[in-house]
Amino acid sequence: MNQQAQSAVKPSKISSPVIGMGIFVFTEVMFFLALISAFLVIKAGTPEWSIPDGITLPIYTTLFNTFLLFLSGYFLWNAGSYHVKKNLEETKSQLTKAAVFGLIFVGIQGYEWIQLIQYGMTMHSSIFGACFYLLIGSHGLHALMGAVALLYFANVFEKTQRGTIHALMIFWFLVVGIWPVLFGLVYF
Amino acid sequence: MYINIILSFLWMSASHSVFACAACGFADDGTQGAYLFTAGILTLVPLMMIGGLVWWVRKKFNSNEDDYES
Repeated sequence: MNQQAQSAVKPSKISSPVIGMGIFVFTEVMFFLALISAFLVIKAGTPEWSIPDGITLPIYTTLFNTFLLFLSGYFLWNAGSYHVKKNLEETKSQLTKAAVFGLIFVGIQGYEWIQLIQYGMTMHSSIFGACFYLLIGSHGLHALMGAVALLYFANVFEKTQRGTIHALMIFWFLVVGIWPVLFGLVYF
Repeated sequence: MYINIILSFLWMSASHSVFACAACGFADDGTQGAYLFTAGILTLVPLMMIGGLVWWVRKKFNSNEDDYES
């Protein structure tokens, strides 16, 4: 395509990464809703729903972890703001901070899980354990993928196409936004 | 044809709930309540998401400035 034709073709108002990520996030919202629905129905139908004996869920550690995840979302929001101001260095810096805090969140979750498994709470030990690991594990997997993607794009940001940061923001805000719902349902 | 439509409506109105289903037909009120609540959420949330998307796209395309995503 020659230069004249290229300049005559305007880019679309909504970039391809945003459209693709929007469709993906739509399906992921339904995925989490399905898991939450199954959890609520199972919990309602289980006569004695309780945390297994001898297990204490680390609520305060997880509250602190939740704060770290929100902090990660804050840094990503800042990255978007700096991107609008076309400040590439700060955009990359904020993206890296968001990724690091996301990875810390996943790391602390992993450590909690190791403790719980050592105390005997596994997917097979009880219905509560199965639901816990399924819901929190699904979220953890999304958080891990999202944090790794943030870290990757923080390093290659100059080479990314238009709309990448907005696509990243859509996904990460889903991860950050759904966590309080899961935390409230499962831990309390 | 109209008789078939009328008969179909009568047949549908005479159907009973599926008592074999452990969630929607189960006698336990807690389970049925949870099922109805989650069915409501699973119905409303996609509609809200689609509505939000339509609102956002209209807002974006109706804006007067030529502000493409950078």
